[in-house]
Amino acid sequence: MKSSIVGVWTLKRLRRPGPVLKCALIILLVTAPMIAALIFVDGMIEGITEKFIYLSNGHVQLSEFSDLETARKAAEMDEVLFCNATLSSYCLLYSKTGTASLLVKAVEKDYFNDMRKGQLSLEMGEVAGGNTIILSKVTSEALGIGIGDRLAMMTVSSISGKDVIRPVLLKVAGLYSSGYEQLDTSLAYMSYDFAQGVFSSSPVLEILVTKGSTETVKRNLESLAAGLVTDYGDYNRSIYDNFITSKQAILIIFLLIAAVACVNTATVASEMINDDYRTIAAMKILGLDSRRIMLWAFCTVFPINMAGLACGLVLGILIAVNLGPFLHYLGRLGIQSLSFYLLDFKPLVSLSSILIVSSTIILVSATSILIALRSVRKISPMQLFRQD
Amino acid sequence: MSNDILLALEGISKSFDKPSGEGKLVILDRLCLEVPRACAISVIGKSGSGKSTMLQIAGLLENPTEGRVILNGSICSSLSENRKAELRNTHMGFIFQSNLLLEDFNAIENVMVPALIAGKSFSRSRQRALDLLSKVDLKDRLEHYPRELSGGEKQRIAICRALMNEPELILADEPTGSLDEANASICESLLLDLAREEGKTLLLVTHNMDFANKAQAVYRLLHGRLERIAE
Repeated sequence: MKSSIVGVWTLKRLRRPGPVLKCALIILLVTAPMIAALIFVDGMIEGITEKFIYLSNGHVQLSEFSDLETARKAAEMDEVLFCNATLSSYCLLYSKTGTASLLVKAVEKDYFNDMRKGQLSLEMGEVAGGNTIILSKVTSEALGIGIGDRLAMMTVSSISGKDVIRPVLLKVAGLYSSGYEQLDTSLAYMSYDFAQGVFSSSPVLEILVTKGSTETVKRNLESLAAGLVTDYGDYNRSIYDNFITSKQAILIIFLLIAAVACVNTATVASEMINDDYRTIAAMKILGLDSRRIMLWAFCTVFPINMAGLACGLVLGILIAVNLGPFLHYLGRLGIQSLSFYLLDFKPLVSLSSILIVSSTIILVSATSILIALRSVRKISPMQLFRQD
Repeated sequence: MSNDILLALEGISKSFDKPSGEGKLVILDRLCLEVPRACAISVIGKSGSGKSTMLQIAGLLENPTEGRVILNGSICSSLSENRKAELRNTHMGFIFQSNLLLEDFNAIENVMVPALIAGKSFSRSRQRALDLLSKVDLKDRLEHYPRELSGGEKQRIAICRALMNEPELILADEPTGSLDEANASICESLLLDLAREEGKTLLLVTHNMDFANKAQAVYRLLHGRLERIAE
């Protein structure tokens, strides 16, 4: 079997990993939090989006239709899982001790199906009648009331319309918690049938669809000219755009940090060449060409860096998977700022983000090393004799 | 040029700019030398006379200011650095005063390096290295690193390394210069015997007249030129 001096020399050099290991450690320390943060951000954005889709908007919304039953029929297609009529109005809620301004969504009885129940914890009391409201726990605490207590509601969305200006008395039928305080503080539910006599707004069909079929359902409904068709992105354009912009900004910042860390590998490669210049010069005397010496140096630095990257990826994923519960625990301990964020979401390991980060690190690291290794050509065997 | 000549230095000059910037320091001045095959030639001269520079030019490590180095009838001084490296690996063996052993490699690995560079098989290279180290009485030092060896042992390893690829030409620059008398004597005998035994051509640079006289021809380097002083 033919032997490779590059392989033998690389193994020998790796017994003194020194700065190479330090460099790999830097890459690990940069990659791990970067991946953790990206997974965390991806997961949180996905989690928040799902909360809004299931509890507030649906995947697709059909509005401005002429007739509710015709609209329902139009929405009967294989991809549609649930289709519910809703009415919404911004309202002021008054209790004996507090007030709250929020969106009250009037929903049908079957609105809280299993998919929606998966997004919240719901505690229902034995309260009869249509004039009831389901508040979030946060709102009920702000109003100082609980299940069975009464409150007054005034609509504020359209004074000139059919909205009832006088307060409507409601009983608290249940309390919910979605885990995302911003949603909880801005949303309450009431009976669709009762709200028809109170809200002036037109009904909207909230449609939940099978995974990945939002566009299909949207297109089909549009082709049927059933009404105004929107999706989550259209409905919450500003929130959606904010999420995307935040994610891109975070990614760019992380990529810059990663690039700086990788450029550090060039310094390490240069240091290694300087440290080993006697061996390199001796190898040249013995007949090893610069190309193979560069290959040796590359093989010594690059795989260790890649090992640092791999460890960083694994560590980052592990941190991300365990960060949600940890932050949730901290939030419960009383760190107020954390309670505003959605913390009990599923970490979303986005392959595209990991690929972008990994390929950037690989590319910048390899290029930096190759640039640094050009100095190998400048080492002359004669340097050994001149020094001696 | 006769086929019997392995190495020829033709009109070799080497000069350096003086640090003061006033003119040039001439080390070698149109030097000529023909080294026949399977022959040991020694070059003596005072320190600073240019012996090592001449050897480095002959070993394609240094470029002459003027003149040509001809190896096996081919002009080598104008080749690319990579081609010169290949020729050094396959046709030449080097022994220097400071043995230049690789600190990360143990004794047997140091000897194997030229063969590994040439891409020879690991097991055959190891066997050849083992044979050479046995000949120089270092069979029990195979796994020792240079820092664990004496000066004499290191130089014996350097001799083995120079012979590893069975080169036609061995270039030795003061190979015993840093050794005590006893070790120097052992290394001198080993170098000359092994070179003779393996039919190698030896170009030896030394300031040790006794050692130089053991070669088949002795040259003195004076004022940048060689003069033959003994045969």
